[in-house]
Amino acid sequence: MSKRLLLFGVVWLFCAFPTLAQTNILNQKVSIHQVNSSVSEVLEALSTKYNLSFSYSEDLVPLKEKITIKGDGLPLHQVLGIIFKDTGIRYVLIGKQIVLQPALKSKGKKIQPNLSGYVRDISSGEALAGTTLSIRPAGSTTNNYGFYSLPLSAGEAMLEIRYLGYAPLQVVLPAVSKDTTITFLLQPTSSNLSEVEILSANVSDLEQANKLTMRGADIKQLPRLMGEADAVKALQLMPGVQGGKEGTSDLIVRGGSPDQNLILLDGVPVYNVSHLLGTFSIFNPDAIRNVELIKGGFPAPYGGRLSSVVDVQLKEGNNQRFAGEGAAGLMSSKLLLEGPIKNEKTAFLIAGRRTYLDLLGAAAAALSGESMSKYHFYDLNAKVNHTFSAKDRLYLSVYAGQDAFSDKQEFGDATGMEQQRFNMRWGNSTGALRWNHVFGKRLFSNLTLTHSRYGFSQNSENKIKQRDKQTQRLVDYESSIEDWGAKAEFDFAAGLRHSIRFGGSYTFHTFRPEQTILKTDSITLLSDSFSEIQAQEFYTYAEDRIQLGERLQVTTGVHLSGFSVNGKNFSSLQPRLAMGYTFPKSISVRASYATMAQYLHLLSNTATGTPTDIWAPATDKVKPQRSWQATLGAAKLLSQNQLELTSDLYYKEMKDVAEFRDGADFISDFLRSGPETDFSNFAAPPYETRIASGRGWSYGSEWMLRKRQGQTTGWVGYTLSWSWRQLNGINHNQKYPYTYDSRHSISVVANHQLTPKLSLGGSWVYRTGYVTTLPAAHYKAYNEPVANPGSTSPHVASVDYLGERNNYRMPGYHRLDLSLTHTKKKSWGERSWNISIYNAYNRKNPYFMQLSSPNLSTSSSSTRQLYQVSLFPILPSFSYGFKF
Amino acid sequence: MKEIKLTIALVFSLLLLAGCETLVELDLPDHKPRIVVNAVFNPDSLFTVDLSSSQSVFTDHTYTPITDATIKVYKDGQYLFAVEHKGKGIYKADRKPEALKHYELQVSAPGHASIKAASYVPAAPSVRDLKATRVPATNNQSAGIQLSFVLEDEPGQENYYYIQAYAPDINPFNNQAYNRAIRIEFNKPIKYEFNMENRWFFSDKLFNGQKIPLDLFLETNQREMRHVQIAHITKKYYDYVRTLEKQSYSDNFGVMPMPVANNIEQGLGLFAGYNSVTVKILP
Repeated sequence: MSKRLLLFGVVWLFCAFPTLAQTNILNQKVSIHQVNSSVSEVLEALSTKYNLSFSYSEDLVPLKEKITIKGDGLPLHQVLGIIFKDTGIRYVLIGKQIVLQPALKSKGKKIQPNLSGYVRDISSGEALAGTTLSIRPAGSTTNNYGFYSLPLSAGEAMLEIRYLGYAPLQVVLPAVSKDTTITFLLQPTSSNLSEVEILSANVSDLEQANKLTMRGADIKQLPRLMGEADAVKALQLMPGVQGGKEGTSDLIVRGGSPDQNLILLDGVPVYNVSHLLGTFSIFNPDAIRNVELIKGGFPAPYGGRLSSVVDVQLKEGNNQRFAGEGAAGLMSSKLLLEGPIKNEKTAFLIAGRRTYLDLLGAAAAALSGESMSKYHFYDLNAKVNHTFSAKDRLYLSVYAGQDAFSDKQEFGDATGMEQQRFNMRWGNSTGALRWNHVFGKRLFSNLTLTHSRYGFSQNSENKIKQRDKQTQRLVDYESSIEDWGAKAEFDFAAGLRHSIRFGGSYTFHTFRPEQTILKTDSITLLSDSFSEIQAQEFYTYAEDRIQLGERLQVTTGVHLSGFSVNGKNFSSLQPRLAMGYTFPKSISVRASYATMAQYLHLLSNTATGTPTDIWAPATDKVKPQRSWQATLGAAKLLSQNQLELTSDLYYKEMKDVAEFRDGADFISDFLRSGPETDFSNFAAPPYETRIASGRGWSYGSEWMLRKRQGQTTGWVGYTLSWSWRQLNGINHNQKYPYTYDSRHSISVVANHQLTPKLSLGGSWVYRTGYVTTLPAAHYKAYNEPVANPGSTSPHVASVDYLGERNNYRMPGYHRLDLSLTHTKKKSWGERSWNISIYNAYNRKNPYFMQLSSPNLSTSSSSTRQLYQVSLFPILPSFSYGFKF
Repeated sequence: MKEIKLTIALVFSLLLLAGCETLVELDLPDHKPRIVVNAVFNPDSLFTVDLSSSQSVFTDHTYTPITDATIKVYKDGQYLFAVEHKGKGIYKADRKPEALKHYELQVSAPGHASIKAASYVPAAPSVRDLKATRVPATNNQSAGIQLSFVLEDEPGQENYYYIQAYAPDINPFNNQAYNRAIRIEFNKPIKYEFNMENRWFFSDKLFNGQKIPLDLFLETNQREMRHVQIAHITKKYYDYVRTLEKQSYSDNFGVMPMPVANNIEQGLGLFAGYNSVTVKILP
């Protein structure tokens, strides 16, 4: 009973005291004499004379109106009533402060004001995508362009703005009666040394489910392979993501194939992200602002691939000052420049990276006197954006990257000469022209024109000149995919707890796979395995995000896509659903369901990343791939919000997935024949006859404990997973483990700031070995040995019979990488040295397994032996970086 | 063809810096032997079948011939004849296959599952305008014969070919007659796609239905009789040799093990036909 009385007393005090205080101040007698003064001058006079505190924003309340007031010994509330009469201003007393607000339009329909604008970095003007703006219990996040729209409830509100790596901003929003635009500028935290509160988007938010994000700065903290930080290699360390074969840029997401990832560079699909057979990705780490990987529960705007969306967003360019950064490493150097053009309305960014293996080769050739082949790759990013007004902004983004290999040989003497030239080039180019426009205050639109092309070309020329006769033979091999597209995306803030996204896209694909032209002096031959194919792809979507009460979030959406090729039309209606519930102890539980369709197939019989990867469309013979995925997960912030703990269960079912039966074997042919590789050999029957399709399914659980801020950052991830395939015509139509099936995966990633100048980073990964196919038996081959008296001419005497597909699991893979970075401030900026060690304890990890050849001529007691071939040993590297 | 050059190794050495091998212990389940057929037939030779057993992958035994099998041959669905065992697993009939006829083979042997296979003999290749020219040796090329002819490819179907050249000779070690292989270079317009022993294979994918003038160089400096065999082979034959050749080079990284094409139901091996013309080039 006494407790109830005490509680009642406390509540009463909380309610009654402000009321009493308010009565006292507003009843205070005041005298005022102001003639033709502005409202602000009158308030200033009152404030000075009676020590009153007025709080207001000049943006929200107009105080320039001229008034005349004369009075002595009047109550303050009466004086304020006179001052604000017909000004559209009202006041409320909060504590001892008199807060001025736009007057509510009390008559008629209640109008909900809206707060909208952008959130940007204060020093560079970069838009901060994914910034959380919360007005409890609801909130919003900025979109990819840093735009937010936040409907406000009546009355004063506390707005919290949070973004990882930036000081949080807390703003008291006075009650506003009309739509307001504010751009918030966040201050980057200057050092990682101070342990500060987690500033990221709340991991328990439904929008963060099935999503992994990394900033460009995070990527550069990780140990480097050959001196190059790499975004794709960083993603491979995340739970639910496997890295394919060692050293490649493959992403195996939740048991999906490498081709099932939609990889976007500033919103434009990229078809081959590998340089040097996957050793590096095409993304210049200096230019990356943010990388986002979505593994499941796909938002309605995304489609076209079954397993993941990798959204790589590049910096837009510093609009505050001219800045730059660069690095020089063992293999490559890079430079990024950015800055405003004339004023802060226009900014540019240009970034380039190039390897110098060809120069090293040329130097070695000069020293040795031998001719050397040349190889190099480069990336070039160029961006410019212009702000026309608060509502209109235009962006132009261009990327071009290419690998090039060339060789030239000459043989002969005075009687004859043979000259061979060989060139091979492959690479991507993308372009995007985006127009952001805000309709009113709540509808944000993004219209984009896109272009993407991946091409591979090889040409070889052979000239033989003998006496007066000259013969010539040219082979040109080409394959490419080119897209032109347009898309429109709209974000509509319908209410404080309700937002809607909708939009559509159209893409015109041109496939030119496997075209070979052979020319000689007398004849020209042309082979198209299938001639140029044009296809059209579209999608439209709508998504509704609602916060039902304080604890329940629901996102429902639908994605409708279609594909038209050679008179054949495919379509797919894909429902998307995600729900999240936050329990009182801040544990949030979320579930999702999404279906996806993929109209493109990748023809590659190895890992992706080989130049001869060919994208081809679904046809009536090879259907589009389709999938559905259900997830159930939980998230919680631990240790005073320093740690994020997430866990997810998933099940994914895939239909009509395709695998190559025995495709273009570029690697082995090239390694065997080198520049003399004859690409006319790769002309082949229609691809539909070369692939098998069927069902795939995968399931598992992922756990991640992540610390994002402070002296020590990093994460521990664990994945338990299964992935299966069952394809017609493969493995006697029986199910078999997918090539990248791995039961357990563990990753431990940490970066520790030892001193303000010195940081130590490391990552350790372990996974159960992948599966591979080993022969089950061998038998006598049909051959016609070449008779060659006196010597044994080699011939293939034996055939290995491959048993069940992927019948052998290779030994486990584990590796430790370390890095040490020393950073020092200079008068011109900052420089850093990075030393990295890849595979620090020189683990001989399995790359592939190989059986020794049978030796049928030896005694019957001998046996064949199985060997494990490893790739990368311990690999130290260093790089020098600078920033100004 | 020249060896792989150092320069290519330079590029790929980055990926293969210390590629090293480690011996791995492995237990595989016992293998149940299956019938292995090796039978390639043509209208110029008696119908011959080589039968043996498959064996466990880790054993290095020489292949065990099957000597007690029953082999029946069917032509266009009708029983034709049985093939008799002649020793060491070689079975031979006293008849030759006919061009453009389809044959089916049925084999049963104790301890093995019965097998069957089918194939046909394609039409002989159409070769015209043959011309051979002797080429003297130069500093960068040995002496040889320039052989040109026109190959008329049959339109509307996939066609596969091989060419081989040889010279009849006597083995000095045993005084036995044998065919000594002669190396072929494809000058223009097409190149061979791959070779197996002395057979140089190519398909018509670049010249389907066309009359293609072929220009070959036979590397031979002896004044002797040379034979050039131009064979039109079935797709099954081509696929088998193509995949066998690829499997024999499967020790490259990143390449999925190549299964060798097999057209023997319940068994293993090759049953395929071909038809050829042989050109004799006088000394």
